Amino acid sequence: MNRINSAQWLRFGAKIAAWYILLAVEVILLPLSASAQTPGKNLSTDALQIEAAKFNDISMSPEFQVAIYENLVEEVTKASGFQRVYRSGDRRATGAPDLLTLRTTVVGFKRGSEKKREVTTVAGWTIIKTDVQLVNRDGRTLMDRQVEGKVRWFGENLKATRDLARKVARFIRQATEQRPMNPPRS
Amino acid sequence: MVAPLLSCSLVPLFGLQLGPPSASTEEKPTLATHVLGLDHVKPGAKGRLIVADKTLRFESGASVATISIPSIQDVFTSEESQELVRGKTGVLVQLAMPYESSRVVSLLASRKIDVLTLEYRDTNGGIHGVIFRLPKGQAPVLMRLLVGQGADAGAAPGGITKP
Repeated sequence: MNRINSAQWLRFGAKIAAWYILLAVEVILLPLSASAQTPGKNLSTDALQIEAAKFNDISMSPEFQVAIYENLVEEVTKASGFQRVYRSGDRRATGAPDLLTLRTTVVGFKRGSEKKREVTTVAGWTIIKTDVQLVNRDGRTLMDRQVEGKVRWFGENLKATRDLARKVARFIRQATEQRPMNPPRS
Repeated sequence: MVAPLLSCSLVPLFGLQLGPPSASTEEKPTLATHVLGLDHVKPGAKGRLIVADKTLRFESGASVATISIPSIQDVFTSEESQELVRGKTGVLVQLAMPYESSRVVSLLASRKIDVLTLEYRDTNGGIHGVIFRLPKGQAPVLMRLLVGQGADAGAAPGGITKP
């Protein structure tokens, strides 16, 4: 009867350890990839409308376009703190006071391959780069950031859209959190 | 005398129907996996897509979601390759395979599937998108059914951009 020898167990254990290290690196790098271009401003408003993403010259399949939009709606509704989140085209948004609008423009897209990621481990990443803006009713841009969504190792390509949406939701949440006032100088 | 006999015999010979054809109100259900977009249905839920009476219905266990077909503004179909061994369980299984044979499995164990993408408007005018995965060859059939029942397959302004 064949028994698994200790060398094979060591190899298996090393693979498991390597995957855990890769996962830990991904978790650490996650908050660093959403870079701020302009500092946030405290906002006190409860209505946000999410416009459908614009793609300019970027060619992206319809399922990716839909996934970006739907994941943005879901994640921003869950995590941004707004009481009312309206979809693009929703007539109820026209009557909302102090409505903010979230505009997303895809500026870069690299469609990776789940097969390549599983076979090579280091290649085949899917990356979506977007410019995300928060605009008020007057058309003034309150915030402008570049946010990236990625799939590096685990999961299908569409997972990059969820990664992007979570980062955008976190950025909106940070921007709308109330910060304490600084005491006046004596 | 011959004429009535001939006219009677013509009916079974040529299969003429005396009345208008009965319209089927429900098409045969199509097995599908909901990827995302439907309210109150989990992503990844497997179920059946049914086209009936100008309504697209997705049934997965106790979860049922319906979309009014005339509200559909865009329908897209595409084909993709899906890995058979996937997810966290699949990764652990592949890690346990000896001599890097998991990489060969990743290369060979995949199948072709269809992707059906819909865009529709709700009663408030808000845009929604839905993605389904279907067995190979089913998405174009379903698209024809939807268009036949009033779905619009042209690009709407502000909606999905054709690549």
